[in-house]
Amino acid sequence: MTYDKDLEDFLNRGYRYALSLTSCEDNAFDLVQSAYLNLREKNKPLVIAYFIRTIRNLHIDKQRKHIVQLKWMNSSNSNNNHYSPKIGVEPFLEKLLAKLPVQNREILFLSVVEEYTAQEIADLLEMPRGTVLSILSRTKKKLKSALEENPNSVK
Amino acid sequence: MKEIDQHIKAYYANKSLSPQQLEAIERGSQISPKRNLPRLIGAAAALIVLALCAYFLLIAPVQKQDKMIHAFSAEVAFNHEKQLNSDIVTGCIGELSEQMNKLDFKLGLPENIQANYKILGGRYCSVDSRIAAQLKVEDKTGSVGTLYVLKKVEPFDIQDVVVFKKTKVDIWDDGDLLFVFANDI
Repeated sequence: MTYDKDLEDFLNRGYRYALSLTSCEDNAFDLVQSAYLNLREKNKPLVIAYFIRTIRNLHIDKQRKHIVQLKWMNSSNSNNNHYSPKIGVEPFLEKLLAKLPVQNREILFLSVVEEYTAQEIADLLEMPRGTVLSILSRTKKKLKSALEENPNSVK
Repeated sequence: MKEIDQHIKAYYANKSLSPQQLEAIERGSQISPKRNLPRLIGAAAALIVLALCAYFLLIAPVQKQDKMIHAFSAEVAFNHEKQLNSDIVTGCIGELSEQMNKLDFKLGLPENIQANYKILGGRYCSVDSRIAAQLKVEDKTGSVGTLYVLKKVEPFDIQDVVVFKKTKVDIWDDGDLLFVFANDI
């Protein structure tokens, strides 16, 4: 991997994945930074699948140690749960995503953005493929109906 | 559903690290060896604490014990060499015990002394600043030894032999009594 553009893309992909886990930009940045340092310290190859797995493990560790401020984020978001007709599609989607369970958001991200197959996601998350498909379908339906209810989101 | 996918893709596509964040990540990875410094300091501190604990829990008590036994034996050997006369001259341990009523323990003889020695007499003395009974005993060959009996306060078992020039000092405990026996080699 050459530096600059490739590394930037690599880090940004990790960052977006971390964002799907944390729903918080600062925490996502911390995760990406820690995961990247982890790879560099262990002289691991910069492979996206390995990067994603490292980010995921770090996220789980941090959650266990109660470092991640998810609760704070969720509670602050929960104050603004009401749909506002003036809100644009992206901020509205952001709020919807933030309200999703972490696992649903993660599966959605891996499937839609990273284009992982259901089997690949099932392997990564250590769950049955059928469960992945079910969560994915349910989450998309939920988002679709929420977005359709928002007049500003339909272009 | 494709529309949802597009929205989600667009949403995440707009999310990227700022140049400052990218720079911070890259800079952080270059100085990563320094990140190990706190860990190394922590590990070194843990090792030092471990070594100190091992010293105070395992080595120091043994050293203290050895020191105490050596000091005890030296004092007893020195007293034995002075061959002081007995204040109470009797061959009966019961009478000695009765006479020496200021002792803070009940005077008794260990089995090996009772079997091989006869009592010549006794007197008060102090060993290690503790009141003790100093008994003169004689074996069948006429060799005179000095037995010190005192209350045991040490929380550990004692069984040792120390030799000072011409004097052999046996030290052992039995129940709540400590016996120190000095005789010439």
